[in-house]
Amino acid sequence: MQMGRVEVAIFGNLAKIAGEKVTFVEVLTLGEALSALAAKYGEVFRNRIYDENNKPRRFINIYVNGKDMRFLNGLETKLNDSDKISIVPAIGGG
Amino acid sequence: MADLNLEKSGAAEKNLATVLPHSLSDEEFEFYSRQIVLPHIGYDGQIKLKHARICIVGLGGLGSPAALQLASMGVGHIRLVDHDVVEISNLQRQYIYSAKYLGYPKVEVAAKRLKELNPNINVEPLPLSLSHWNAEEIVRDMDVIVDGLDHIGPRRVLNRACLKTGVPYVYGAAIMTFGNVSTIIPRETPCLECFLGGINEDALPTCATVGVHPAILNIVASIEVSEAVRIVLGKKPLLASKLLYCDISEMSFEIIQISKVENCPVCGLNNIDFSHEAENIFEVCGREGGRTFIVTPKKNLNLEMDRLVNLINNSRDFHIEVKANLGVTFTSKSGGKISILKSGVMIVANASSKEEVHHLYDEIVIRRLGSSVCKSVCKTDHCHIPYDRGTVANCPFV
Repeated sequence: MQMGRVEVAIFGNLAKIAGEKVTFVEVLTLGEALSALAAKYGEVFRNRIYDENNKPRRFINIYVNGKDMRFLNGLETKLNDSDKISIVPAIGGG
Repeated sequence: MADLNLEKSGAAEKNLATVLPHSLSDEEFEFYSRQIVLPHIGYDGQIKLKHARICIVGLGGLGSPAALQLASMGVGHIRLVDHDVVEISNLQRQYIYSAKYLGYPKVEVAAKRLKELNPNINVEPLPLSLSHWNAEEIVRDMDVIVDGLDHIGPRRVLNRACLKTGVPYVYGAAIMTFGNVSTIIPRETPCLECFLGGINEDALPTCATVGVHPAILNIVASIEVSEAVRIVLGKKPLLASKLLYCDISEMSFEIIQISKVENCPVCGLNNIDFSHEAENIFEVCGREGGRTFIVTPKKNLNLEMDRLVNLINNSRDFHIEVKANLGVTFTSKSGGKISILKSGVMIVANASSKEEVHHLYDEIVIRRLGSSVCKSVCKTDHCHIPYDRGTVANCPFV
């Protein structure tokens, strides 16, 4: 199976931790994409997106081509060339 | 102790709209002249605004600047919904209020301010908690809903109510220097659940813990107003199926394309239900160094304020600080600060526990106001619940 070259857009404080807002990864699944990002950006970033059970934290929205990953196949969501992942910390205040 | 009486406000209410509903008076024309000349508003657009009905749910950091803008733009009917009173920490960003109105119901102060700003419009203050018991009724006859809430839970309720009634909902949120806006058109765009449903509210920071910059609140509120006005004018909102993400610490404004999902549990599966029970009592951000709880009755109890004030005045345990038309704020001997709104909502600051608050509500609203509360909502000839065990949680009517 061919890996997809996927664009990743990072928002909010996560982008500040990562040091950039956009990057590209070549992966098969969403889970692999997040792991690649955690490896690239270090422990602080990893701890922000993963909880102690290694699951994405429930204050981070992760969209693939605009669709919440919950409605796709979660971390097993297959990615294709030119797909776009958005990692968006939720905002609830007002 | 100053009274706040909307009927007798110092700003004389003139009925300036004495002309036909599809035209503007000379005074209105002058009032709105700086936006009538805008190509996308114009005279006809101003008439549409005059006939528009917009509800702002939450009169805090987002809702209060949105309310001021919509009122000054001439939205003919503005419904204000909020369950809280003015606190000193609000004044850093909620400039519709002022220091002299601490302890007053927010909707009452906001309504007074809006009417002073623009006597041409109608303002309807509702001192209520938005809940699944009343959300549909609150939004049903509106043209658009503007989000001024500060928690995701009530936003989910609002989302469902808007979907069920077909009323467009402009979602907005802000924290620190970050802000979000998206416009939800029922059945057409992603609903809130499509893009924000998986969030665990408890994990989110609040402005009390991480802060919020007033500028981002005004930016988000202004964009919400812009979207709401576009809907009223019959124009396509620019943030439909889009999530705006702004960060004023870097002056970045980015748009994320978001998609409706077919298997969304709310809009996708046509499962707009309210079966989950909301809590009558919930904890909010602490105030004055202590825990704060809000009690929400299932119905608008429409309390007799004079009777409530007399009851509190005659008690040695309480001391009234504020007596307003839509609520009263008083302190207890134990140091707690309590506000009771006309709707029956009670806010208790500096409480030790939910149980203490439950007891307090039972004691004041249910027992001491007792028969008048039950009588106003009871659908039976006599109450089948033993009066000495009547509580908010047990009463099926309150």
